[in-house]
Amino acid sequence: MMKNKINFSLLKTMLKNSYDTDNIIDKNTKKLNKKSIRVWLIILVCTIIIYVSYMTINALKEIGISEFFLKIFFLLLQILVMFQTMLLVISVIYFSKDIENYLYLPISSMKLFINKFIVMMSIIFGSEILMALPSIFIYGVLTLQNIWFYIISLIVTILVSIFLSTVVSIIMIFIMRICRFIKSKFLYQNIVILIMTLIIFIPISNSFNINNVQPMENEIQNENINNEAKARQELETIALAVNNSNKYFIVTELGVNALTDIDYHSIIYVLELLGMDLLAILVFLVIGKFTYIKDILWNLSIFDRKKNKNIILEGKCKAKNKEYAYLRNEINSILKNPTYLMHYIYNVLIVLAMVILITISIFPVFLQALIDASGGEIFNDLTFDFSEFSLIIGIIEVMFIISSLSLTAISRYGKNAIFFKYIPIKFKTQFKLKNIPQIFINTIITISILGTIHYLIPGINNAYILSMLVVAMLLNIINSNILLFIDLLKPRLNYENEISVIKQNDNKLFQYILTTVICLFIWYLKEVTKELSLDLSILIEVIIFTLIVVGMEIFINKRGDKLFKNIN
Amino acid sequence: MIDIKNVYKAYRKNSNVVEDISIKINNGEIFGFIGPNGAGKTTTIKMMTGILDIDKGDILIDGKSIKKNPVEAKKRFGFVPDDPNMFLKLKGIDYLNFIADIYEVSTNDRMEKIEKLTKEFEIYDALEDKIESYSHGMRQKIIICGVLIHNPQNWILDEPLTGLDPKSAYRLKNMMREHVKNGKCVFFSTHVLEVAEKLCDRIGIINKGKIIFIGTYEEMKKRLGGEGSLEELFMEITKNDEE
Repeated sequence: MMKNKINFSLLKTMLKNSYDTDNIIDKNTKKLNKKSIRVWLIILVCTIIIYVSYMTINALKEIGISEFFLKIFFLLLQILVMFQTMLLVISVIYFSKDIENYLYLPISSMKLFINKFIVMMSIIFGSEILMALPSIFIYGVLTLQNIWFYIISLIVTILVSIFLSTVVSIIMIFIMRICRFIKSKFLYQNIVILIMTLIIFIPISNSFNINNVQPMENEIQNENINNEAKARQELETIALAVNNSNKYFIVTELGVNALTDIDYHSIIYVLELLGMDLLAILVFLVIGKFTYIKDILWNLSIFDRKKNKNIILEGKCKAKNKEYAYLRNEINSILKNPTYLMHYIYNVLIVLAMVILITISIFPVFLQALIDASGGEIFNDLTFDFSEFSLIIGIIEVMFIISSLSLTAISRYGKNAIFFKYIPIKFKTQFKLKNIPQIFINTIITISILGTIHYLIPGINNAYILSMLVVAMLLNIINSNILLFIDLLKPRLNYENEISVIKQNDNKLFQYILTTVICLFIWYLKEVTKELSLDLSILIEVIIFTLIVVGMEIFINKRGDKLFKNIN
Repeated sequence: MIDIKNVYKAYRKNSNVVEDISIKINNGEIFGFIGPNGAGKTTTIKMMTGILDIDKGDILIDGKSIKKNPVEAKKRFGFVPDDPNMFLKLKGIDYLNFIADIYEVSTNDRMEKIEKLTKEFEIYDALEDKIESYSHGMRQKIIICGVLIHNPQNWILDEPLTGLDPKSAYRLKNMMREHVKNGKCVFFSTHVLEVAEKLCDRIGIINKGKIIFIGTYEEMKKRLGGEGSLEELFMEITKNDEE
């Protein structure tokens, strides 16, 4: 059935539409384009993943629970796959811009549906090759696995992803049908995604609530237990939370089991996975056969329908200050665009919520484990010093990575960005107004992290929390300014659609580099102020960052006009 | 009044896209700017509106230099770009309000203008819809309304008639005539030579970055020593230039 339904010419066209490989593959040599920033970005991301995996696996090996890595791996894999599927079902299968171009061609709805699904899966597999396989392969190397491990891990990763993607797609189809009473496309897409996010994340976050984690069978409540065993016990509690979470997604258990001990059982687990995949795909295809084309046509007819309301101008035409109007337009351009809203607001809030939730759940146990492992010595003399201060500032700076609003403040407008060149508002004013959304989002990140830290470590003096807020806000301004400088210097105004503004943005590499440089600078400041008191060290840091902010302000005021030069 | 003074522009060294262009568009006249594809029309318009830097020379809008005093110069013109696909996620009314805020149009003025202009262009009933749901012509109309709402002294229009239905094109042409009757000026580029012939007081022809003719239709006929439509004269003058 599938063979007839996959039209390779159609698939090739769809894939070409979805990928912009010009930059990655050198057109002349047909090899990897080493001059492409995107290639280096991919290499950087892979290196970071391999490094983090290497450190984690080694740490787990030391306490003899290296297989725990597989459980974490599958937990993260399932979050990645489900979240990606959720967004791709909307953007690739049901609301992609090219759908209308295929509707008038003599292609059956099933062909269209299956090919769209394959395009979606190819995007998911692409992410897995970059983000998942390096981790699992490094695990194989460090735990001295044989060739079968690599073959089975590759098959298992693909099968787990197919199952999860198919199930999430089926649920999405139902949610989309239930939400049909919403007539605004914007609201519709966002509510569907919100419902799906809750369905995915509530069970996971519930598993991470340590209060819900049942004590392990081998838990020994013995006061005489040695510290190492106690630490191991605490880590096992975390492992149990991960385990609980994985149980919600039946295939991941099979995946973990298939890779834990490679023997003939692994083949059975793989076959079980394959069977479940086939069953899920069959259900998915049957549902698609009866619903897809109807849903597409419904989307096109309902959401594009004009309201033709009789407008009453009074009350709708109040004059506003032009700077306010400009800022409101900047905010609306994000909030009124589902793609930007999802990637720049939802993503940030979800990642932030997950980080806070997991930190609040795990941190006390983890801290206890560390105290026990060190016999209480590590934290016996626990005082808040500049190292901790710098560490928290560093964490906040790293968290700023999840938002790239300023990095696309120009590129988001594509060819329309020329509008900002011919309106009568000074460029330096426009620069400052364009930065406000990024600064606002980063402020939310800062306050959330500091609030969490205050909650988890109430011993930190409020004055230091406030100092961290000041330093983080200065970094926020520096960070946002530099991101906007980058977008102004290298704007990409020829994006085909909104998703490519985010996904194919080479400038993201500079954001990683910037974060690394700032973190190194924070570390350097910590080192050079070693001999000084905490208060003095903080004061020095505040002065340095304030000077940088003032310097940038002078630069923007003096050279603001030149900054917009590359938009034309 | 728009005064383009010995303007040069090169994207690469020693390769001028626009070379020593000087045009003075007086108040009370419609100036048509025509030329083959890639002749330098868009580059000239981009320099006039501040989208592109000027390498050499200057452009004055009502005496204000777009180079030295850009904000003041920009307040004095309204610009219709050739691509009307702007701010698609905004409703028509939100777009017009945004433009009115940027150009500091008072509440009463904008209410009156929005009603008058959008009714005239027959998009009043679509103001509550998002621009992305508009047809090409409707998008063009809303952009034109956005320019007219702040009643600028000078209109700079890049292919303004493309996509407009005959009725709206007729209205826009009438508006252009009325605008210049009030002592203001209109600069517009077009590929439709018939429109230029009938509408413009003067015509400027650009080819390979250089102005090869400025004057009235009658002057062009005299210079080429023949009768014929603007289309025929245009073909001849650009051919001569190539030779």
